Amino acid sequence: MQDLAHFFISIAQLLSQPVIILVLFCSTFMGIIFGAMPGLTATLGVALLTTLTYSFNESIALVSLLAMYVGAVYGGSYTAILLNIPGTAASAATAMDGYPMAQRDGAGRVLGLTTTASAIGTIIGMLFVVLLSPLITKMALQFTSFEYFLLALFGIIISGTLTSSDLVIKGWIAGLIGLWMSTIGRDQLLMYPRFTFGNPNLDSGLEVVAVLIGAFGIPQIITALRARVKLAKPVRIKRVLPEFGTMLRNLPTIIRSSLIGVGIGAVPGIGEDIAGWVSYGTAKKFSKTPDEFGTGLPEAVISTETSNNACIGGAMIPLLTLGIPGSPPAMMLLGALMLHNITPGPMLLIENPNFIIEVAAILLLASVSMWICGITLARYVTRILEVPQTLFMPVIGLLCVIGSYALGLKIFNLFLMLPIGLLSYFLIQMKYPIAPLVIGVILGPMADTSLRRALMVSQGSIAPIFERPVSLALFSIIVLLILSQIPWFKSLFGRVQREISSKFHHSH
Amino acid sequence: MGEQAKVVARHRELYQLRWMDAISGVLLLAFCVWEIYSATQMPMTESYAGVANVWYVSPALLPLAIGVLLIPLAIMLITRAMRDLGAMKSIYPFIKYQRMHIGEQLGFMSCVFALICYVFLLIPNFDFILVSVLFLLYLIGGFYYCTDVQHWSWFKRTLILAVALTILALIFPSLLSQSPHNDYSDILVLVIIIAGLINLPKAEDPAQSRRKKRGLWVVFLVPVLVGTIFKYMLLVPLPIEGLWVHKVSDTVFYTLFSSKHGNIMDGVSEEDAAALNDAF
Repeated sequence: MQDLAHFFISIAQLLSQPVIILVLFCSTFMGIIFGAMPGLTATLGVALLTTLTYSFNESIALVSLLAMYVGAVYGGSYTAILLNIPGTAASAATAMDGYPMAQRDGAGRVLGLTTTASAIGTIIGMLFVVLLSPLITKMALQFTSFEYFLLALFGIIISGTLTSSDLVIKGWIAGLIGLWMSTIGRDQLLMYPRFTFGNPNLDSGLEVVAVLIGAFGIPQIITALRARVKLAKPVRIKRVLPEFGTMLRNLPTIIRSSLIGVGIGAVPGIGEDIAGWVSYGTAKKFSKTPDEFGTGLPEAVISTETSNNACIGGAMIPLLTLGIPGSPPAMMLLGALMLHNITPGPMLLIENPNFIIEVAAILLLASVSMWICGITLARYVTRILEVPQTLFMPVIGLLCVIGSYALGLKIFNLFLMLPIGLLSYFLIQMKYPIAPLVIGVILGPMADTSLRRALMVSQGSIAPIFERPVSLALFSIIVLLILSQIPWFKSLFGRVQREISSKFHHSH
Repeated sequence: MGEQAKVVARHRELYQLRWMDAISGVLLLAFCVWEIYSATQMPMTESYAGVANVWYVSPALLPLAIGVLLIPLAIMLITRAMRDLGAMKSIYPFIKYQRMHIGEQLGFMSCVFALICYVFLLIPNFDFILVSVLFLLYLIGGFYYCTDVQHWSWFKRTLILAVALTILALIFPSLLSQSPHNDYSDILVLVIIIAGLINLPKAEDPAQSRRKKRGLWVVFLVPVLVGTIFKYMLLVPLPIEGLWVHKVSDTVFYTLFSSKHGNIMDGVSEEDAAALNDAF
């Protein structure tokens, strides 16, 4: 009850400041543009905005970053619907039915549905943040260093497993390279310089924001300019109408997709794109007309858009309670929060008990502002889509450079950002996923210090892993994840499965 | 594209990918050897900075673990690549290695060249706004304004200019990395910008002419706008503040805006002002 009261007080406080309302709408609109423009991503948007907002006060910065995140995840649906080119990976599944539906019923109708579905998805995700965060925090307070080490390892392994489009081992390799990159600099226990090559600029380690901007920004710039991508002229939209009747008829799909979105968002390192596809597949499975998927079904569009926006709330849960980002944009949010002296993790709720409620209030406002912007400003977004990539990508390059420099006022950050960007570009060309690399850089310090602290307490023994239920569960999942990718284990598992099912059939 | 052509294209892509996997696997192995060797040089059990060390608190623990885990992964990557390449042996003649399209090659080289020059050569040495104008002029000029054919000659001419600049910098090392920064070296950047503008290929049709006008607006406005926001609103000093910042934006900003709040030097005598000048 007290939390509910605080929630409404937070909303009232935010709305009483005209600056915050202005920042909210501007950031959401900017987010929609970032999401809509192919080549620009929610992660890059949040990264560039971090550099612009780091001198602002905490509330304004948080409003701006979360509004950008929400807007960008939704914005990807514009190009998916209007041009059959997803603006972000999160909207790839939306294009499957969004584009044919727009051709048949008009883009205004589809955008009306996606706008409302995205807003509902964000709000349901926000509800889960409020409901689950205190429970997870309570559990996390019991965690020892072994659990933290295993959590970090789990984040890297699962992200590597689920984001690889080619071989799973490429995801693990990317994660381990990221983990190695996090060891550069003086270690936090003995202050010994590791892999610094005598360069004092490397003593404090790699600047996370510069790494993120390089890894997510530079490959996009090179790819877009290299191919000189030319988009077709999008259809002009007259009116965007929300269809509440259709939404009500698809209530079970909305609830199912939201749960999928929150669940996938909560898994470290994987984000909205996977949520969209899983939700699309599940909606098809449960549909009365699965054969019509791909021909422009409202149900399909609603399922993908609800789930990719619900993913935002899901990604915020491990970020706020454990300090482990649930999705690539959440990785950037983690960096931004730390710049504002907010350290996400179980201590956050103790030091600042109202913080999660404030985040929930901002998420609610962001989803409302996204809905208003989506319904009223859609036609302007389509006009911005006409700006060629070859004109705005060099500007993004300039923003990446000043953004990487501005956070530490070090030109050396640029010397890091560009090589990391080029390395990421080549890794992407070789189909290595980038998310595990970045999550490795982010979770590396936690993995390193937790492992050594844990071993220090246990005098070098790893027995405590098997004595504590959470660490045993995490350890088992990690081992199973790794074994599941080994061919002989796969065939053994298949044989066991076949044996069990044949015995089951015989007994019946 | 016919069904057969699609299959060939898919196999060609896989073939090239597996070759790259094999090469990256070998590079990864070499990296692991170096990484493990470096980790073994870190304090393991001996004392460091007066603190007695044990193996499980050693800073080498995680790097060693990473190196040891990466080795089997690199071997798996190479084996998988070799197995797939072996399986594709019978179709080698149909899936000959295909190089990147010449336009894409040029696009890649041009873009990487611009980024490297901008980050490593221009930003640390010259006025940020001027070098940003130069960076945008090169990229927007080459990719947005020029046609594919024009882009090639634009790239060649810029390459010649970059070589000339490097030779100049070698002959007159004082042009680079001066502390405090000398505004006069920025004149060189200004000259290159003007040369670039003169060098822009002629518009072939009205549409290209419109692109030129639009592109130039972006080239000149964006760096000034971004520089102004960062320097005067977010109070972030730019990497190098030279000719433009000192002579133009500071003058405009402090004359138009700061004068309303009174000059900081008001009431300071001429002697004190001179002393302050000497001090800084």
